[in-house]
This record gives sequence, structure tokens and C-alpha cells, in this order.
Amino acid sequence: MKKKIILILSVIIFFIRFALTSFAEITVVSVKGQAKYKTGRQWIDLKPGLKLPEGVKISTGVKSGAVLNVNGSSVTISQMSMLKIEENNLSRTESNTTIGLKRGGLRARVSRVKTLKTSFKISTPIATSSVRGTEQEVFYGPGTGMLIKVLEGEILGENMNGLRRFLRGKLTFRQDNGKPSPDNIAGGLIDETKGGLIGNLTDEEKQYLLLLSDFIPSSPDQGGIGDIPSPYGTGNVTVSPVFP
Amino acid sequence: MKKSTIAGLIIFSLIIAVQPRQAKAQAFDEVAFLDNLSKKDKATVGDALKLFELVIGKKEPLSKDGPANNAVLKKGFISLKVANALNLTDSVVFTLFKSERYAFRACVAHGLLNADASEYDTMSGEELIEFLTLASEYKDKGASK
Repeated sequence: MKKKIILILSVIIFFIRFALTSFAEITVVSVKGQAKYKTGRQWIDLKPGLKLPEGVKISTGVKSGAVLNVNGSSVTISQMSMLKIEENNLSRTESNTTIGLKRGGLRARVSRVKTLKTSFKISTPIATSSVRGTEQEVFYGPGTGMLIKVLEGEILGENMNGLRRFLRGKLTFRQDNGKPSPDNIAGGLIDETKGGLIGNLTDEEKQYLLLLSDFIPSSPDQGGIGDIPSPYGTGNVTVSPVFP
Repeated sequence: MKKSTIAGLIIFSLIIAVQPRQAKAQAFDEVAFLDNLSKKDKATVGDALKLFELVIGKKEPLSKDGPANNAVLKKGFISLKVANALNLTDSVVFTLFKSERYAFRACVAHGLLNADASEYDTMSGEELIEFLTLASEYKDKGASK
């Protein structure tokens, strides 16, 4: 009798587990140029409509790319990129996806279902991004580090030391290799504002800038243009002109 | 001539016309090349010139007085090729001297390379791939303007 109950329970557990995880799907939507996936030691061409398993490695060539559908979310892989779908589970109540980005860039547009708890992460060796909103762009390389741009909604960037930054609008998360904390999230905005300031220079100043652009400091630490607290309201701008 | 013979000839000529293109497209496996390159701690001049050709679309021959194909790649060498190809002439010093030193600095100024290095530093395969990925994006942005 006991054996029967154990057998019935095992069958029920198996079917529940199967029912909860059997919907997870990675499908190739489109391919441009050379894009391949790895099985064993071989790289095989990606083709539209192809179903890929969890744990698959994908790599793209020069001026190439691919679009994947991961549980209804769209992942666009840029040229010369390599990634691995580390985790991909989908049940009736939650969806978990983790993409390991080894190099290059990708854009993820996450579809949200109100009844589904969605976790969509992109991890690199130095940091991780979690999509709280809908769309993000991520790049990783040894020189750049990890760069996250928000295209829509809100993103959480977190480095390996557990330092977190919430991003929205034009804010960016950049974690350099070997640095303990990420850069200023308004870094991109400082560059934009600086561009605007340089755009208002006189012809003489432009000539001077052209001649000495290699030697002009570009960050507040170097005596350049200071922090800009908010792109949407008023703020203080510290300008440190250096005269010869 | 019979209709079937004409149809056969058309199909045959179509196959002949398409074949060389397929052969050319399959001739070089970029994914395998990038995979191998990314595992190298030190990229070579040959690696850099091959990737430069794929990304920029221009074949750069080795000069007689320059480094050999299998020599370890220095950042200055590939910076000069990229700075010239992307026409980074807004740095006057580079425009005047066209040297590896100022090409490297011009690439840094455009965010293609990190400032905490020099033109004499070697490059890993991953660094080379990243540099030319950014150069390709820079080139495409210029083309779309």
C-alpha cells in the first residue's frame, strides 16, 4: 500500500513539475549575417524558427546579429557578441531568465504579464542588470566594462560588491573592470551638457579647442566640468576654465 | 530545341551563377575566428589586420619596415589604421603628425579606447574585438549622419 502511494505521489510530482516548466521557449526570430549556436564543440548556423535549449551559447559575426524570442520577450544580439542563456524557466506564476553576456551587446525588450512574476537578468563577469521596466541595452567588453542604458522603464544595475543603482530616463550604469563601484549614473548627461556648452563657443574659442582638444580635461576630477544634478530641473554647474 | 532542354539549361546556368557566391560566403567562418581570437591573451598583427578588413572593409597590406604578421599587436599599430580609416581628423595634433601616439590619443578622445594605457601596450583578443566593435559602430553612426 505504502509503495503504491509513493509511486502515485512521484507521478503527480513529476507531472506538476513538467506542467510548470514545459512552457519555457527560446526561438530564433531572425538572423542577419553570420550567427551561430554551439552544440558540443561545433558552431551551427542559427535559422529563423529554430528552437534552442536552456544553456545554449550564441555568437555573432561582423555586421551580423540575431533576434530571439525568450518566453515572449525579445532579445536582439549585436555584432561580434557572445552570450549564453544561463537560465530560462516559465511556469504559470513566474518567469525567470538569466543571460550571461561574455562580450558585445544586446537589447532586451521584456514582455510583462500582470499575473506573472517576471525576473529578467543580464549578467557579465563584473555586474548584473535586472529589468524592472521593459527595455534595456547592455554592452560588455574588457575596456568599457559593463554599460547599461535604459530605453524604457526602470533598470536595476548591481555590481559584484552588491552596490546597486536604479536607472530610468537617460541615466546609465557603467561598471569598469577592476573598480569597486560603478561610475556616476549621470555620466552620459554630463557629456551631453558639455557638448552643448562647447557648441556655444565663439569661432576663436573653437579654433583653440580644435588645436588643444587632446589636452583639455574631460572630467571634474581633472578640473573639467562639474556634476549636473538633474536633467529635468535647475541645478548648479561648476565650470573650471583653464587659461594659458 | 525542346522546352525541357531550355528549362534544364536555365536551371543549370542559375546553379552556376549562385554557386560562387555561396562559396565566397562560406569561405571564412567569422564566428570561429572571433571565438579563437577571444581566447588569446595577446593578439597578433595578423589577427588585427584580418579583423580590420572584416569590419572596415579595407585590406591593409603589411609594410616592409613594419611589424611581421605574427608579431604581438601593439595598441598604437591598430589605432593608426582605425584613426586613418575613420578619418579622426578633429584632433589637430593627429592630423599634423599621423603617428601611432596621436592616433591612439584620438581613439581615446572618441571613446574607442581607454585612457589608462599607452600606444606601446599589447592587446588581448577580447580587447581587439571590443575596439573594432566600437570602431564599427562609430563608422556606422558617421554613415547615417
